[in-house]
Amino acid sequence: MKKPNEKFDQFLNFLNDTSSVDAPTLRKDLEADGINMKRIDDGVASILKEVDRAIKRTQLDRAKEQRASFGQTLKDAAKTTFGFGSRKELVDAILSGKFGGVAQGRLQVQFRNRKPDELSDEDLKGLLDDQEILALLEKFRGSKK
Amino acid sequence: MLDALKRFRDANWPEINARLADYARAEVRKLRWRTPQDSLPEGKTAEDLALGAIQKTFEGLLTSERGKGLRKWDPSRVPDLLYFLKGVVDSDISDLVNRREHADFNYSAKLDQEDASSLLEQAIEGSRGPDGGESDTSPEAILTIEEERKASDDRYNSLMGALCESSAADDEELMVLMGVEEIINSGEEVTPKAITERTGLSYDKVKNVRKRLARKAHSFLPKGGKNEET
Repeated sequence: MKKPNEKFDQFLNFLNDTSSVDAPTLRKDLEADGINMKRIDDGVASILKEVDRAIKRTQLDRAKEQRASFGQTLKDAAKTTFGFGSRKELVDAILSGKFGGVAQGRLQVQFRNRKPDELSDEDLKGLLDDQEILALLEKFRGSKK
Repeated sequence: MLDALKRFRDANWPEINARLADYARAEVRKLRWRTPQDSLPEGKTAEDLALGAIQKTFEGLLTSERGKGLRKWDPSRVPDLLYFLKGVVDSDISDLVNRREHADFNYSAKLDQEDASSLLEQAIEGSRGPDGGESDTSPEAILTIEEERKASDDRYNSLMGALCESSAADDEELMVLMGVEEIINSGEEVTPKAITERTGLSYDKVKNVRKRLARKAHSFLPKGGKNEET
């Protein structure tokens, strides 16, 4: 790590160099020298459990943030820009051909004989993800300009 | 932060644990050569240093703050986690030495701290050229550096002399020691390969002799309380 700039450091670095020793052999050597490797392993295992918890917590927070911000964006876009009051209205609009193309075909296949108002919000969420719907809205807005 | 946490979690820990403990052990030994009155203050051991560095690095990942004592690992700038952890060990050793009670102001420790801070800074800030910072060229600073260099040379001569004496009956050990001396004086890097080329001994032989010499050198280390076993 330290750049050897003195004779003494260079000499010690040479004597202490273990880069060609594999990790299991190095462990044995450290243990023979009185280093408690189990203490380090146990300590690291415990830190890694905390790391796992922190990762899950961060992922959850991020997903919540995204959902909250996206839900708001979608709601705003649907209502203020396009006048759709709910997801049902939006899906109905897609089915009525306002958006056309792939989205309509895809929704029709998935709806089969069901009408949008027979479906709950949860059902509707499963049909297209929010990103896709937002993209459709953007496309629709573009075509209206 | 999420990416860094995942990289941290997925690192090769059995390997890192061994290499970092080995590094901490070597640094503790170096310190004991420099300040023979004892090794690390506060009863710290090589294990404490290794574990402490890992814990601090993890804590640094959880906060967006920057401040003294925080070790912020940014894998996009320092991909090698072990390298970063070694920098934290260096920095912690110098902090410990600085906090030492009844600190009879020690130039060597001061220089160590500057080295460590600079290395950790480089690890955090990314690569920086050797001329990236301001250097103190005052007469006092130059004198300090000269004194330290002389002290280092004295330590080198003392250790080399003791090893030559104890290896008087072993031709291979003497050959390796002479090879080391030649290489260091020529300003090259001392490696088993370079010694092989100079002495004609096989590579494996040089490594075995080095192991014996290292064991002897460690036995010459000044005794130092709780950290003696490290």
